[in-house]
Amino acid sequence: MTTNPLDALLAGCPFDTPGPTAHFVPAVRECLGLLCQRFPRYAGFVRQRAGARSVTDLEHVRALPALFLPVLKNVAFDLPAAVPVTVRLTSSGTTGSPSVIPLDEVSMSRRVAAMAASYRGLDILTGDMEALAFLLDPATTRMAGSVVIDAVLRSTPQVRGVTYLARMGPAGPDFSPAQAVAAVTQAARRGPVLLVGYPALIAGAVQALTRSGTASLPLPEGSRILTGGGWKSFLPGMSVDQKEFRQLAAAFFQVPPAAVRDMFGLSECPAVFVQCASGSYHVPSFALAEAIDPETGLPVPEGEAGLLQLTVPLTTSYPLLKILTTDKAGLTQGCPCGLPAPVLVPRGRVSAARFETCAMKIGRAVA
Amino acid sequence: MLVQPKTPQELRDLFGHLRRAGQLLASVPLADILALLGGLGSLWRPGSPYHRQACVMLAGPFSLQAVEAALRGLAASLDARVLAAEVRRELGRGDLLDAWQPDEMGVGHTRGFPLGVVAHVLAGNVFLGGAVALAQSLLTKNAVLLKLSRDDSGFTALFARSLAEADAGGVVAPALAVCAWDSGQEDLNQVVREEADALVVWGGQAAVAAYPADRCRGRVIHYGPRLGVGLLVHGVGLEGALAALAWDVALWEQRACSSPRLLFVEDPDASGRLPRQAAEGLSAALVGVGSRLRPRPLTLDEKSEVLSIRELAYWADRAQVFAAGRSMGHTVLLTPAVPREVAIGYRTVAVVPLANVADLPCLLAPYRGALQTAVLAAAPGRWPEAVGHLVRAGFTQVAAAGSAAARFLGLPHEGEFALRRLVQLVGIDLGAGPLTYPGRERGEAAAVAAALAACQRPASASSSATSTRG
Repeated sequence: MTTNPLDALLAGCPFDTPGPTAHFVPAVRECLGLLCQRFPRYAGFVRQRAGARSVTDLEHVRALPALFLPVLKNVAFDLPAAVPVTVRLTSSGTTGSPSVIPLDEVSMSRRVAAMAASYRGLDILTGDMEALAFLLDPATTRMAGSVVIDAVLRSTPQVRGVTYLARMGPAGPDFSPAQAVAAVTQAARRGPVLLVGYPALIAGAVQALTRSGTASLPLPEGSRILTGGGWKSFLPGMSVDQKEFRQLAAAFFQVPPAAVRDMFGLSECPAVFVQCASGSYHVPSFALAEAIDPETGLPVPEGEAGLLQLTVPLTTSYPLLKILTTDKAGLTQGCPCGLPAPVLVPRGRVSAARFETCAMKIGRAVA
Repeated sequence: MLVQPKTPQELRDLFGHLRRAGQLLASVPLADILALLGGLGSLWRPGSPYHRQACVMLAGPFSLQAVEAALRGLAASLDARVLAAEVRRELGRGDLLDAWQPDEMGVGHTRGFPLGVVAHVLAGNVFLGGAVALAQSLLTKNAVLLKLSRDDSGFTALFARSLAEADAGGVVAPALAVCAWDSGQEDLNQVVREEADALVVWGGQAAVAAYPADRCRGRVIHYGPRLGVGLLVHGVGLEGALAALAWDVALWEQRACSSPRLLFVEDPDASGRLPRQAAEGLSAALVGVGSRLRPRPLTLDEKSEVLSIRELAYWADRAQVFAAGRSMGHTVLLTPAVPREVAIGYRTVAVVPLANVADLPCLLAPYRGALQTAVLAAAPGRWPEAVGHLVRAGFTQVAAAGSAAARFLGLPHEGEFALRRLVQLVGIDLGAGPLTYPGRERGEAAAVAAALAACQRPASASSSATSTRG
């Protein structure tokens, strides 16, 4: 029985190589073929920008055109009837209109497998633990972070249970720091815990405890804290600096700093970039990450900031094979943790120029 | 000198000072003001210290060549003879603010008076805005308060400094203040609303909205955000026209109200051939003009914005993108219809096919209130027809291709001569004809007329109408 090239891509540890594996190019070819069949306008775009040649090596992959993220937020691709959508993930919409990502079953399962592989490869889910999610309950939202992390946690046998500490209510996100504190305290009595979710919510819970006179809440050995998104303000007035948070969380929960990790990702991309114990965001081998100068379309020199471009051949229900994001990032090699996988260094998001001008604004900013 | 008022009272005091200085300025004959401005122009000749300083200060947002061209234009415009002619054209006569002018019967007399203190809220996109505002106010003998944009380069304050240097008599410079404060400081904005005898708002929608006429004591003049448009008519020599249009696109980087951000191209046979030729040719011409008006390097954020403009036009408006390879020096977008979004800046032009020039008023109807300058590229014989359609569309200025922002004074600005808006016209009727009281003493009118003619010392209308807070 032959393995689908896209599934083959997910076999093994994704951080053992300094770049995409030999499975990557066949997977890109397969994924591109399917997308071009399903989305004629996308096929025309690829043909116009890269010609009709087949993808046979990494250079061809690099030459493929990327969809720019603002396009995905403003233009909807018509889905063929033959693609049964099982879930429509959304982005948070913190930077404008949210993206809607329609996924069929196989694309969703690959997305979950990819995240699980990254967690495994970086020892996030080692040993039995109970998950306390500082995320919106996926029963109340379609936000990609909640839905995919939920699926990963529920598919992981070591995770004894998942409790959601926030939910999307009619008036917006609903989160009670006091209830969260109670849930963490009770779970910690039962054994190691994984606190996962928005750092602002975790910081909100810590703040509530501190205000009530609790200087620390030691978590059992083997516990971990995994944050994602939400460094911008999520709770009103609560914006968090990542370094400060790491120190604060490690001290308050009395876990080693290496047990406090962050992940970087976006709903349009099935790959998530998880910090290793040294605090570096590693690029898994099923993804090609590049920092691009948008003027030339070429990669910037190593270490310099460009726009983050991601090629991840895991979604076949929507043209997300190669996207150019509005995140600034650099890429380097060589992490003190010893993993050979490249390191992504996020440098913030681009901002649109605000001309104070007599020219009438009939324009849209970078979304 | 730049004034940064901290409190409303500080700003109110400044208005009081300007009002007193304005009363002195009102008594200065126009000839003296013209001479001063002429002297000011000589301080800005190429190679002068001010010129050199401004070039260093301004080369960044705009190309050095554009800055030099603008400064040459400024120095030439400040020539006393040029200004005298412009004043005559705009105000109808050169001595409008200096003397009462009797009518043919010697009974009707007309004279203009300054409004008092004119506050200008400046835009940051074109650095000459402050200099133009200052010249307009002084030519009408108004004291002037310039509120800088947050994007101001420093040029306006430098220009004000040069005025103080040129003002040997020390009468004009005290009637000028260059100020800066955050536009969000409502307490200071409110002082301007209450104190300014006239308020001229240049620039974006937010600035216009901050100073509505019904909340301001004085006359309010809004030069709000505008959509610049180009029109290329079939039959014009394409190569020359496109080279000239490329100049207009590049000069102010498509950030001025006169910048032709939408270019309509006549497509008489509906083949799309001429619009396509125009888009390709304009792109090539923009490469060419880049050697004279070099595009500045873009930051990563700016490049991202240009890419966003291009890609959204491609996907959402089905535009074809014309640009130099691996360069964001300019972008020409050939769109099948008027795009939903029209970009600002980055030498970006949307080329739109136009079946018939007569369709223009209808196509531009949604933007009618925002139309000001149309740049026209047409064979001479088609100008009258094309201008007629542009006027019906709502444009108040038609510039030949290559001249979109070449003039400061002497033509109407947004449908009116700018200087006229800054003058209070006053008439004196000494009475004549069958409706006049028949028992009036003979010779009274003639005596008053003689007294008015003898008293030609200029005076300010605002001196009797100053704010009680001043």
